[in-house]
Amino acid sequence: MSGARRRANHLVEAGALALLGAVVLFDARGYPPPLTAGAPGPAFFPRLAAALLIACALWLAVRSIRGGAGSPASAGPAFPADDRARAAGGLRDRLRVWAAAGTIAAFLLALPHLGTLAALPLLLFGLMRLAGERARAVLIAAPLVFAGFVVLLFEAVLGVPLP
Amino acid sequence: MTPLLEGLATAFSPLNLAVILAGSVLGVFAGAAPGLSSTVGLALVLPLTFALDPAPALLMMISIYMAAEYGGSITAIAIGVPGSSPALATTFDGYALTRRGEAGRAFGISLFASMSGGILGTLLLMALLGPLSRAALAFGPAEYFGLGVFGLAVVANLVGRDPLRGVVSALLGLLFFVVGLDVLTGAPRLTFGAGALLDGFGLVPMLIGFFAIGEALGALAGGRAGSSGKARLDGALPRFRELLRLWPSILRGSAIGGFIGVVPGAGATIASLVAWNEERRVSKTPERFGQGAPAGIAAPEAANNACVGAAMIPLLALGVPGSASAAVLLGGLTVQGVTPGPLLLAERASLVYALYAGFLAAVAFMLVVGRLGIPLWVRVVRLRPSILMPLVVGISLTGAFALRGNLADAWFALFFGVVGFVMLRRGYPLAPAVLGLILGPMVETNYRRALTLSSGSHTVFVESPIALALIAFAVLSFAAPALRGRFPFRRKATE
Repeated sequence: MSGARRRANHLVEAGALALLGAVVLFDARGYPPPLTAGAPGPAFFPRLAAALLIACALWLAVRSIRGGAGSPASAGPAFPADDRARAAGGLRDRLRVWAAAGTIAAFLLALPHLGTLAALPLLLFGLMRLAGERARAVLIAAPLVFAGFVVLLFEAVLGVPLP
Repeated sequence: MTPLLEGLATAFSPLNLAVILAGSVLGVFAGAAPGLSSTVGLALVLPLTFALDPAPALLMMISIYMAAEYGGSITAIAIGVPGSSPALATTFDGYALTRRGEAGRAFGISLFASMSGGILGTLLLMALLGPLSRAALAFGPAEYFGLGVFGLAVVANLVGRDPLRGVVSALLGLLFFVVGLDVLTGAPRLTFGAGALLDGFGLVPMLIGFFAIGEALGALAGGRAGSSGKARLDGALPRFRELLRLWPSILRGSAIGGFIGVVPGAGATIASLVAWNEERRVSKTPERFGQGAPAGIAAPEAANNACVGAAMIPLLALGVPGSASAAVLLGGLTVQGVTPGPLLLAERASLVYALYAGFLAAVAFMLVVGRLGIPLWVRVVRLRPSILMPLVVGISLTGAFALRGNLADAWFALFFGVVGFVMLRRGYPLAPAVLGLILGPMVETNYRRALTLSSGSHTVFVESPIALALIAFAVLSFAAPALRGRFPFRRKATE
């Protein structure tokens, strides 16, 4: 990724954070006053967090314009387990991610209508295909067996009714 | 027969041993399944205990509680998804060991540390039931605020190489917690008129989203997965000598778990994160933490199991649950006609002794179930990522729904999955956000309560020695990373 494009990405990122902070500040205008005079009300904490978020967004933007350290590429893993999703992917990989998120959303929309036993195998089939599984026997058997297991576990063993 | 012998005879009767074994199996499973937890496992069996006598009912519940705290580490180590929130810290080093092909070693360390923490927590329960619960009784809003700020200060040590992004992540977590009805006034905040948001997001959908769905999306994005089928997966257990070397870490973790567990509301998640952080702080090789350091597994696992016994101290002595799971246990006690409080030890001594013995038996069964299960967990790790990750998403979404029987929770899990994926891609750590969601309510509610009681005077935080000490520790913890950078000679020495 070129330096100019990375900088533009960081500015978009900072703008999104500042916008989120502004939305919170706007929403907090309508909160009721505190129950006791002198004590903070329900708007205090969101306002504080939103103001700090906007300040951080500004800092991010300034740092990005200056071209200082701290970009995702130079920051390194910010938390021990967090380098797991940092592997760079191409356009096809990014499309696959959004297709997976769309598959999950479609599953959640279909769940109340189809029921778990029918919808879950479809979800698993779709995700396995997106993950690159090509063995037909696995693609058919694994979703069906697993969906049966999940329904048995939650409904029969744990007594939790599923859609 | 003395109450002590009577209690021991009750706990070790064949029926009750079978009940404890069943509870251990259920507990390990409830802890391991993402979306379930010790609390969910306990809540699910609560109706089943109605038909039992008090002793077997309570023994089953405590064995589920104990085993579930260990069970959470199984998925944390196997696929990098904490089965329950207290296992969050275990993912850092446990999953790193798995990726290095040493899953068996990680499972063994986790099991040994959990067992040790469980025993030490039980001993703490036996020894400090009276005095420590009296200390916890002294906690008011100012002290809880101090405790919450102290917990948030942990963020300072969890932000990695880009503190700014870590702080942004924590702020996002704090804002996620704000969504829903305000506890003190009932005013809806950040709900934008959506009824599904009135109850807030909840911790479980967030954890499932961040760590299960986000993980699956990350695997798809990078052609990488939670575990590689090609990696060498060693089922070998750690050597006894290695376990002995971990004793200081286990003792420190247990002490932290014991202290935090006894404070109502703090809980095993905070205990395990603090234990992991403290272990890294005192280590001579802190850079190895997050890369598969055995002490990074031992300390948090000892801490979350020590919390189990410690959380029972205020529950049994005062009737104040020290955790959500303890709150369900309180429900079990009430259903059985057992009233916890200062008189419990005098009036139901044999039952209390049976619970003590039951805790130790539960630890032994947890060891057996956990040890026998290690080959199975290692086999789970060997599954192809293209099969494993969809299965993780499937059971996680089902678990998110099952928690409250609410489809909105599954949508929240998807939302957090996408948010978590984007955050990780942009270099924002997830743990500070989780910590913000957990500690946000404690910090905000108690800050406002304290100022309401003091009519807006901030001196309330200075007048309480406990609150003052906790806030001072928090400031020191925030300042420590910056101060370390100011003293190059010290840095050289540690290097």
